[in-house]
This record gives sequence, structure tokens and C-alpha cells, in this order.
Amino acid sequence: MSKILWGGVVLLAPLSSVVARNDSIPSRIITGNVKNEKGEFVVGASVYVKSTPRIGVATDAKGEFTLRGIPAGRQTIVFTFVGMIPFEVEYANQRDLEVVLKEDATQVNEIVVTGIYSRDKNSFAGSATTYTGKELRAIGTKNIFQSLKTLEPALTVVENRAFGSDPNQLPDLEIRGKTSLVGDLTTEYDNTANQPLFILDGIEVEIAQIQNLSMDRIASVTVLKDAASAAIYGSKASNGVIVVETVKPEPGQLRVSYTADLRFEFPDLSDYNLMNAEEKLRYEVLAGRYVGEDQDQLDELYNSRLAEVMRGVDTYWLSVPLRSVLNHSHSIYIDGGSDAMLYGVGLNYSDQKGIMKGSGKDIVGGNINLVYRTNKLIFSNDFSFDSVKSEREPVSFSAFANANPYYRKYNEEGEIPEFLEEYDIAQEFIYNPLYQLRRVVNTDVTKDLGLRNNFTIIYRPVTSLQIRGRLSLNKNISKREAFKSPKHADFNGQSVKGSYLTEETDLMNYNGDATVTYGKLFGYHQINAVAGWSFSSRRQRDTGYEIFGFTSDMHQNPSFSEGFQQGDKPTYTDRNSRSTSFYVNGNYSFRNRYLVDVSLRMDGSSVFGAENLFTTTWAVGLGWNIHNEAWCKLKWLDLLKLRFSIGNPGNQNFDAYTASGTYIYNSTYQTLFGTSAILEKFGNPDLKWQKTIDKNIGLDVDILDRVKFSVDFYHKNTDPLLAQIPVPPSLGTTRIYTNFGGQISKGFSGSLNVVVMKRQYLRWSVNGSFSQNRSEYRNIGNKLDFMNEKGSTTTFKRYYDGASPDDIWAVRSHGIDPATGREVFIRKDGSYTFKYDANDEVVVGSSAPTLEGVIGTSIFYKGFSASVNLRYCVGRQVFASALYNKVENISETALYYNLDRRALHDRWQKPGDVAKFKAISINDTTPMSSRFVLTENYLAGESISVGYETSARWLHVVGVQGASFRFYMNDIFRLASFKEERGTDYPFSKSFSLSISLRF
Amino acid sequence: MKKSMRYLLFALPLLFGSCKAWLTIDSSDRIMENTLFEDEEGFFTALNGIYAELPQSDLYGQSLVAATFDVQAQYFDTTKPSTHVFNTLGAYSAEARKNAVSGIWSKTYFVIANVNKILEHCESDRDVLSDKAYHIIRGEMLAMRAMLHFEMLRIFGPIFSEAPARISIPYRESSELVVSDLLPANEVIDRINRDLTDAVAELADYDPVRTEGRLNGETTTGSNRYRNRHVRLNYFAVKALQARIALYTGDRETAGRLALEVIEQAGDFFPFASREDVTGQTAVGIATQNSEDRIFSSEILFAVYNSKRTTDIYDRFFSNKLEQTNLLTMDDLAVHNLYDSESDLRSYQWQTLKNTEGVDQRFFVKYGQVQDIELGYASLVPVIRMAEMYLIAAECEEDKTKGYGWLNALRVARKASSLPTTGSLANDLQDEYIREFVGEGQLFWYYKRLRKTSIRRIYRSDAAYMDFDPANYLFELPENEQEHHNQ
Repeated sequence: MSKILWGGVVLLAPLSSVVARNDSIPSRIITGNVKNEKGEFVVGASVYVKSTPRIGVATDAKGEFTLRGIPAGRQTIVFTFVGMIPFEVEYANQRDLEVVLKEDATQVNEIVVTGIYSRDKNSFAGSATTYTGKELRAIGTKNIFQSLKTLEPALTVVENRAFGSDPNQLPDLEIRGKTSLVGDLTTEYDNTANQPLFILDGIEVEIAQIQNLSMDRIASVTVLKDAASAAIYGSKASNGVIVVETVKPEPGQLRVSYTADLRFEFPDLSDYNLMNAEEKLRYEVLAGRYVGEDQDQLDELYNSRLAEVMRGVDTYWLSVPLRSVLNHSHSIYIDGGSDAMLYGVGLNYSDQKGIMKGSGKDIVGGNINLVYRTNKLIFSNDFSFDSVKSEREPVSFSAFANANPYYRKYNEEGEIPEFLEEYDIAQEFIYNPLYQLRRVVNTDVTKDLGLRNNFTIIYRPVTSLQIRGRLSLNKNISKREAFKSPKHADFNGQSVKGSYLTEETDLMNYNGDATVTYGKLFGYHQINAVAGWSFSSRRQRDTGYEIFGFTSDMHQNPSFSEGFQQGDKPTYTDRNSRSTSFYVNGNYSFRNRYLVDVSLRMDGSSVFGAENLFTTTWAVGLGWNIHNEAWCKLKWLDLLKLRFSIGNPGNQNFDAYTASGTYIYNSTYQTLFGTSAILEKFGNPDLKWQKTIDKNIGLDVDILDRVKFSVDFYHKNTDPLLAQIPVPPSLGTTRIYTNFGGQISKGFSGSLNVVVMKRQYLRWSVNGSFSQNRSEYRNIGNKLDFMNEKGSTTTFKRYYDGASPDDIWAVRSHGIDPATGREVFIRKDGSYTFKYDANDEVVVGSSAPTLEGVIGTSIFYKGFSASVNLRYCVGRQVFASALYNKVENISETALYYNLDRRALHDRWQKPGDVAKFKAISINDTTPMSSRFVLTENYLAGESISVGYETSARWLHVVGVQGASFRFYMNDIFRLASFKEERGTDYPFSKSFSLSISLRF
Repeated sequence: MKKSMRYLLFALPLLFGSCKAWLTIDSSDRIMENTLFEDEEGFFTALNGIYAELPQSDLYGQSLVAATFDVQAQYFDTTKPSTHVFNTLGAYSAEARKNAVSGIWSKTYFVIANVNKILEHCESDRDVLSDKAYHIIRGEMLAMRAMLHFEMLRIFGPIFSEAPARISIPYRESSELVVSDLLPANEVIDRINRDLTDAVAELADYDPVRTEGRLNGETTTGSNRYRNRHVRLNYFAVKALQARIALYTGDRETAGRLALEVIEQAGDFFPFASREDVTGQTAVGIATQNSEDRIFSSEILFAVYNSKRTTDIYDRFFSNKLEQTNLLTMDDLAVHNLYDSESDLRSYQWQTLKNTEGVDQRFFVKYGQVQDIELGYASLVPVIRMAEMYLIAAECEEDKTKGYGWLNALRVARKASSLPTTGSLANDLQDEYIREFVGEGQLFWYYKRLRKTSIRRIYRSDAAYMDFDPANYLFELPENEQEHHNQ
């Protein structure tokens, strides 16, 4: 502990000496205040003598300044502030000078908000990008992630091919690829091992909170990508950080702003390619469905189905559970106040019905911001609440996709039958999904209530020094209730039918931090320093139970059940974790040419286990503003900056308590001797925390404010990896966390923006972004060979040194032999064989694209604007699992479901056929071969929008100061090199939306 | 300003110093390993944890006692109806046999790992334990490790008499997460014997069972920690286990000697159940079906205490509320043929009750719900009993007449007639094994030990024998274990 204490003393010593200094010669003096164009006071603007920058002050909390000791002679006084155009004035003994600084349009993005401190981007050496709420809203209105993925090339929203547009599904995000193993080597808890850290107004929050945040509350979103920018978050930063700041009240007259969004969303079934009734029946005949022991019965079955097909029965089941929805959301924000007291009150409502009937989400939220300012102190309190009600669809989409088209939805009497066929196969009835949807009550509703309060005190004893204390409380209560009707297909053949499940999560978080920020310009030397301490505590309690035995849908009340099933009891878990951190960040720049940025952070967490409470992370960033060099004074070159950073951020997205063993009290069986406890997790005190050496080189160019280019190359070396590997159960457990090998991730991402045309009212630009990421394993040795052996028939992932986690391993295929309809494989030596041998497997593709990004264009003319953003992806290989499971490998049970048309049309039928797929009559399992690995290139219409903004006089008549209208089309088309079912459990959707904003 | 900075400087060490304590947290349902073993109380909590894990269905809640191996020993009729849940297991289908033992392996080794943890902490935290606690905990845990490994060896090991050196199972002696090699069966037996010998040495001077017996129930004066020795692996239970294992490995001399030692030293503390005990008269004063002691609790050397015995075992396999597809029983005539007469105390384990269709049927009620009025037998599942010592003594006796002496001693206690010493002792012993261990999972291992190729269909009224393929005595290691031992 003494080491930290020492660090603290060293840190504070120079600060106190700075505070102590106070020189003043009140001979020549200038006083006044600084405002921005809106007439608001600018706090912290620098005011200095141009010839002697040492003589300078900053404006106080009221925007006022007093500059004394101005040297004799003609002097120019300079006023500067981040994001504003510097202003100069000749000294003439002015008193009460009013300076208005204008916003520098070229520098809109030029502040980096890390959540702990903000920094002028020019003097920042890390790789980070800030997007304003307005920029995000120009892309779409659904949620932050939908818009951010279009703008930020380093961010990937991993496509969820199963859950499509499900509003209740949380996205899987990655910044710059993966640093951790995922898949077979992780548990269900670790699916988020590569997820970035989310910071909302300085406080760490869960991804759901960001997703549910109303788009209108967002002031800015910053993506921290490299070690230097994210290092302030230390042991949690290796996956990058997304920092969201919400809108804060501004002084002035009472203002009211209102936004309404209307979104029309409709299903996209274009990727489906299912058989019609005639095709399905024909396929069943070819597959030998109607030949068997009881031939009479089978003949009868065939004839009855044929009769139905002849009668014209051809049900298109896919569209049955779907609908087009019109969603609307509203948000209103009122703010205003004097300089001393500011207030803001917001309320928002959002309706997010899903395209599957019965699914959707309802969000009601609100917030109250209060700010009180005195000369040296600012108090502010933000309170917000979110109430989310989410409902899941009662019947899975796959139940409809599986239904055969030769069944009718309604019987002759026009009623919906409970079963499509009473004929039983293996004593199972074929349930009618429509009956399940319409006639049976199945509900699954989750209600969340989140309350958040942030209290901040800022103390500015002198302008160069700021001390801030923050305390945040976060409470979240979530309750899920799911009722399954006794007629639910799940209870087929069971004696006890119907179930009621309830789960309740109670989460309480508190966080606090204290930060000291110091920033001053000493002539050519600009120094910024931040030191702080933070703590957080999180307690999560989960309770729940499931009871069975209901007689009807009428009584869903749990008291109508028969009770617990034998041996069942309620569940209760209680998870507690705490952490505390100390951090310092120093930034120095010389004449704004050479920049150095250093961060150090110590994290202590209950997660690390008792032996190893603290871990240290560091980062160093270097920057060179070449355009500021005397020898490089080119008029057309506004910015040329080279950046380099290195650091070792960590990853805490692993299940808690891994390093130390834990026991759990046994409540299942009573003993004659009182309490009993049994091992819950084995401790591994030698376990090393997963850290990543993260290196980044970046270049930023800005030519004449018309061409902006930025590129970053990165190299992440995670060594050792932390992963769960299977072990023999004789160890007492089946999986353990272990350190082994490493993983290298490297790639680049960048963006280019060119203003093609710039007239007085017209501005037309094109933009493009690109990224690539490659990973490979190191030093694994043969430790996972048994996994490779085991996986040879079930997965295409392999673990070898030098191999990539994105690689797809399979035996190469030469296609289908036209003579026999069997698959011809290619051996390692290149010869052909009918015999599949797992030893012949090679890398047949990579799921990481060669290049991915967005290309777009935007145009502004007076109040009109339009933009188009298209996502492209080239050179990615995909294992086509729908082809694998619905065209070939159709098991006997799968034959009872509807199938892909290619199973009928593209399969080998008679000698001489040149087919892509093996003979229909061959029922044995097709091994995973390169035949199912396809290259996917696509171009998708991610966002197209048109907008109009006006503050025309006629609006004032109705009391409106300004208005904006915007029309969007999101995910409107997708041109792909091959067609495969996407959205197997929940279909994808397309949407049109309209947004109207009014300021009163 | 300067002053406040100074205050801050003074406050900082306090801040840092307290953060370590602040970061070390426990929650209401779990506890850190090191915190648990900080005091003797914690050791006993962990020790309790071992015993409280044994009633799990993969251990002595089903697999090792009631259903899995008794079905394979052909006690119950699983042929009717054809959809009986144990139909395939009763017919020894490969799939069913594999599924039947799949959970046992990982659960047993999980408990063994817990045992090893306690043994390791016994040494590293020796200073928090009194001498008595140290020796008793250590003794019981060594015995537990040996007993559980023996259960695994009986299932997954070879027929010992046939291939004693065949590679079988790993013997885990450390909680360290490093893979242990599979050992030959005789080497496993050596380690089991070593652990049991050590356990006997640890318990010899400290276990109150040697002087005071099982100390049933609670006391209001003093500690309860060393009472109820029959639900702990006590000194006599360990000796009895040694006898069982010696016989299993063919060491008849040792087995016989140990069985006699137990009979001699523990006989007074663990007497045979009397008719009064069995009828419930001892417990409640009058004979009543509600209080029958059908497990002969007085002679139990070690039992698993299962607070949910009725729901876990009886309601799942034997209850008259079960559908025929899930029920394990035999018909009236078969029960009748099992014992010489209805006066045999063991026939109290069978009752005639109405089944779900309202028809009278025989049900196996050994684990049914009873009122024991503080005697505690309603929650016991026997693992090793005195009766087995008599059977071992009989089998290991060189002199046939003396052998019959031990067998008849047991039969007399059961209110059955003495057998003439002229018969086949081996056959009579087998019949007695069949009668004695219904629902205790021991018979199948008796067959495996003697490599029987013809076994009795006990549930059939004609008690006909069936051919038995000795390959069905062998069970393969679970795949997720085997794959780490290939090459």
C-alpha cells in the first residue's frame, strides 16, 4: 500500500506549489467577459498577451476575466477557447470588454471527451473520435448503435443471423476485432468477452442502458480506440470504450424542444427460399417419405396430401406471424435559467413494436438536470429514470418456417385446428403454430425500472485548477413473468401442463470519483494533468421460481398452479463486487507541435481475488503536429498529425471470482450438524489477468478544410489469453480458467471525407470508411489438440499456432460426382476421393472480411440536406449453415418440416446431372466440407435520409423558433453474392421513418 | 487552501489502508475459500458440505443405491409395460448403461476434489483446529476419498479377479487442477487401502464411537459435532469398508479378520434390529405401520442422511402413486418367494397398497415416509451395515459349519429359520445377499466380484435364471474423461 501512498504525495506536491503562486502587478489591466455566439458565457477561455504568453488568465465561472501586469508598449491580447476561432484585440486599457468568440466550424469534432476529462483533440495523442448527437440523428433514429456503426469504421456490430431485427436482442459489439477467445472455450457468461466498456455521463453502465437511451438525449458519443485514449479506464479498457454524454441545460430564456419520430418497419423475407406445397410433396416422394413398412397407410397419407395440393392448398406460413408496424416516439426537453441556476427537464416515450406479432418494447424515460453555480463552485445533479416493458413473441418464427405448405391454416368450418395433423409420428402431434399464436395465451413480459442519480461538485479555486467530486447511484429492478399455456406445444405428451416462470433481478450500483484537473499554458509549454480516485460497488440479487400445472389459459395467476415440480425450489443468487482505482494522466505539448501523453492506473477489484487485489496498467502516447512546424507552413495544409501510442489495457469481462476459490452454502439438503458449504468455483491463484499490449499509429490530414483523411494502424497482442478450457471431470470440474498462448490482432481503419463542391449555400461531400482486422493464435502448442480432434465433425474452428480464430477449417470438396451423386473430396496431396477424412482438412476461408466499411455522400443546400450511406463488405467467407441443414443433411425429423427449394431443384437426381448438392436419396450425414463455405460480398442500404431545417418567420407566428424534418430509409436493400436464410428465429426488417423536431 | 491540502494528505493513508478490507467481500450465499477455513467452525461447515452432497441423485440418492444397479441386478420388473423408463437399462442396452453412469463420474470426483481441499486445509490451517477436530476430520476425509474411489472402481474398473492390473481410474489425492493418470486397478486398491489404514489410525484415538457408540440425536449439554456417528464415516464404518474392499479384491483372510473385529468390537453399539424396532414399537410404544424402522437403523454402520428421502427416492421409484411405467416393484408371489415366510423382518419392506388404478399391488416401502420420533431413521439411506459383516465372515470362514454359523446368526436375527449346514454355503449366501440388500445397490457388485454369468430374475415368481454377459459388468469412462487420456 505504501507504493500508492507515495504516488499520491508526489502527485499532489507540485499542484500545491502551483496553487500557492500568485503574482500581480496592477499597473496595466484589462477586464471584461467572454461569450459565445449564443450569448452564453464561456468558462475557462484563455486570455493572454500575444508577445508574452506567460502573462495570461482564464475566464471564471461567470465568463469574466481580469488580466493584470500587461507589459509596456503596443500589445495584442489573445482570447482562445477549444473549438472557437481565436480572437485578438489591441490593448487600450479597456474595462468591461465584451468578447464574442465564434465557433470554429472546421473544429466541430475536435474535443475528445473521455468521461473523466476532456481534451483539445489537437493536443491529444490517442486515437479517439467524437460524434455529436446531431450527426447520429442524421443517420437514423432507432438507437445509438445503429447510427454509430455507420459513422465509426472501427466499430463492428456483429450481425446476429438468427435474431434479425428482434427489438429485445442486445447487439454484440466489437471495437477493432477480438482480443479474447470466444466460442467453445467460453461459458455462456463470457459472450461479452470482447464487448467494449460503456460510460454514460462518466459512469460505467450496461449495454442495455445505452441501447434504451433516447436519441434526443445524446449530446455526444466518443469512441476511444487505442491504449492512450482508453488507458484512463485501465483494466477494463482493452476492448475500447464508448463514452456517451447527455444533453445539459443551457442558460437563457425557457426553451422547449420537441421531437417526434414515426417509424414504419416491415419484414424482409427476401432471403428465404422455401418450397411451395407441390414442391414439398414432390421432394418428400423423392426422399422416400412414402415408402415403408405400413405401405397402405403411407399411400393413404400421400393421396390425402396430394388431394390437398391439387385442391390448391399452398399456405405461405412465413408471413403469418409477421406484421408491418408503425412505431412512434416522442421526446420533450425544457431548459433554461440564469447563470447561477440552470434547469432542464426531459420526458421521452418510445414505442418499439417488433415485426413479429406480440413482440415489442415500450420505453418511458425522463430526466431532471439542475445546476447551481457560484464564483468558484458548480453543483449539479442529474436524475433520470427509464421504464422499459418488453414482450417476447409467443411462438418462435422457426415454428412457422418449419410448417409444411400443404397444411391449411383453417379447416373446412373456418376454424383454426389445434393440430395440423393428428397423425402421430413418434407419438407427437404436429402443432398448428397459428393456433398457438391466436387461440392460446402464452406471454413473456419483462418490466425494468431503472433509476439513476448523478451528483457532481466542481470547485475551481483558480482557473487552471479544477477539483471535481462525483457520486452516482444506479438502481435497476427487472421482473420477468412468463406464462406458458397448458396447450403449449412444449407440453406435448407430458402429464403436468402449463407453466409460470418469474425472475426478478435487483441491481444496486454506486460509484464515486474525485478528480483534480490542472491545465495551464506556460509560454510554449502547455500542460494538462489529471489525477483521481474512483470506487464502485455493485450488488446484484436474482430470485426466481417456476411452477407447473395449470388447467386453462384463463387463470394465469400462480396460485392456480399445482405448485413446484418435485425437488424444485426458488432460486436465489447474490453477487457482490467492488472496485477502486487510482489514476494519473499527464499531457504536455511544446508549441503545439510535440505532444506527449502518459497515463497510469491502478485498479483494485474484488474480482482479482484476495492474493492479487491490484493491477497496474499504463499507456504512452506521442504526437507530432507537423503542420505547426516552421518548415511546413503550407497555406493549404490545415492539419498533418502523426500519432503513436502504446499501452497494456486489461479485460475484466470474465466471470467474477476466478482467481480465488469460493464456497456456496448448500440449502438443498439439511444436515444434523447445521450449515454446510461446498465448492462453487476452484480458485487458481496463479492465474494471470488477461492484458493486451496495444500499439497504434495514426495519421490525420486536413487540406483546405475540403479533404479530411484519417487512418489508424493497430497491433494488439494479448498474452497470455485467459480462457476456459475443458478438463477431464476427474479434476472435480469440467472447465477451468487457464492462461495459455496468445492472440495477435492487427488491422487498420480509416475514413476519408472530400468536399466536392462548396458554394455559398451549397456543400456537397462524399465520404468513405474502411477497416480490416486479422487475428492469429500464438504459443498454443498442442494444448488444444484434443479440441481440434473433437471438433473435426462439429465445428470449423481449430486452435493451432499461427492459425486465425476467423479461419474456417474444412476438407476441400471437388463438388458432386455427376455419375453417382456423391461428394468428391480433395485430399491434402490434391488427389480425389469419395472418402471423407478429417485429416485432410485445411483452411478454406476466413470469416473476417478483406475490407468492410461505409461509402456515402451528403449534400446541404440552404436548409435542405440529404445523405446516403451504404455498407460494403468484401472477401468474407461464410459457412452456409442453412444450406448445410436445410438443403443437405436433412434428417428424418427435418423431413417433416418445410425445406429450402434448392433441396429439390439443385440436388443430384440422375447420372449426368451437374449439381451443387448430393443426391436426394443419400440420407447419411454430409461432413462439413468446403462446398458449404461461400464467399459473401454485399452492399446494403444502411441509411438514406433527406432533411429540411428552417427557422422561417411564419413559424414564429405559431410560437415555433425553429423546426427540422427528416425522412429516413434504413436497411432498405441488400445486394449479396449469395442468398441464405437470415433471421431464422426472428426475421430482418426494413424501415422508413420520419422525424420532426420543433424548438419553441 | 494550504490547510485543506494538508488534511487531504493525512486522509490519504486511511483511504488506501481501508481499501483492501473494502475490496474483500462476501455475500450471503457464498464465502471465499480462505475465509471459510479461518476457524474450526468453517472446517465443520465444509465437512458438512461433503456429507450434504452425498444425497444427490448421481450419488447415494439414486445411482449408487436405489435404482441404477438394482435394476441391473434384476430385482424389479422393468419389462412391463414395454415403455417402462428402465426397460432399456434392465435389458442392458449400451445406450442406457452409458446414460445410467454418465453423471456419477463427474459428481463423485467433484466431491473427491472437495475432500482433497479439506485435507489440504487440515495441514495448511492446522493451527485453527483442536487435536480432536484435526484427527477426526482428517480420518473421515481420508476414508471418504477411499470409499468414493472404490465406488468408481467397482463401476468403471475391471472384474478384479479377472484382470487386476487393467488400467481403470485416476486416484485423486490433490485438489490441484492437473490431470492424473489412469491407474491399474490393483494400484488404485493399494491407494484405497493406504487411505483407509491412515483413516483408522487417525480415528482410533479420537472417535467416540469406540467407547460410546453412535450417540444418536442431539445433546443439550456440549457440542453436537461428534454425535450421530452413524452418519459420519466413523471408526467402525471404516473398518467395515476395509472388510468389504478386501473381499472384493479376493483377500479373504483380511476380509474375514476385519469383519470379525467389527462384529466383536461394534456388536454392542450396533445391535441387530429387533421385531419391536422394526414394527415401530420402540419408537412410539405400539406397533404401527407409520413408524416402522424398515432400514434396521440400529445396525447401520454408515448411512447417508437425506432430509428429502421420501421425495428423492420413494416418490420417484417405489411409490403407489407412480404410473406403472415409472414404478419399480415385483409382484406378490415374487415377494412371497423371496423370503421363507412373512415373519421374516425383511418382509416389512414390502407392503400391499392400492395402485393408481385402485388395485392392490406390492410396493417396496423401505424408503417410504415414516414417523421416527427423534430416532432419525426416516432420513437414512444405508451404505454399510452389520449384516454385511456377518455375510463376509460367513464367506471367509474356512470351516463350512462355522460359516453357516455366521449366516444363521443373521437369519435368526431376521426371524428366519436356521439353515442346515449341509447345503451349498455359496448358494445360500447368494440368496441371503439377494434378501438383505434390496434398494441398497450392493447385489450387482456381488455378482461382478464373483463374475456370475447367470443371474436370477428376482421379480419373477418362478425366480428363473437368465444368462448374463460379463461384458455388462464393465462400464466405459465418460467420453469427456477418456478424450484427455488418449494417446
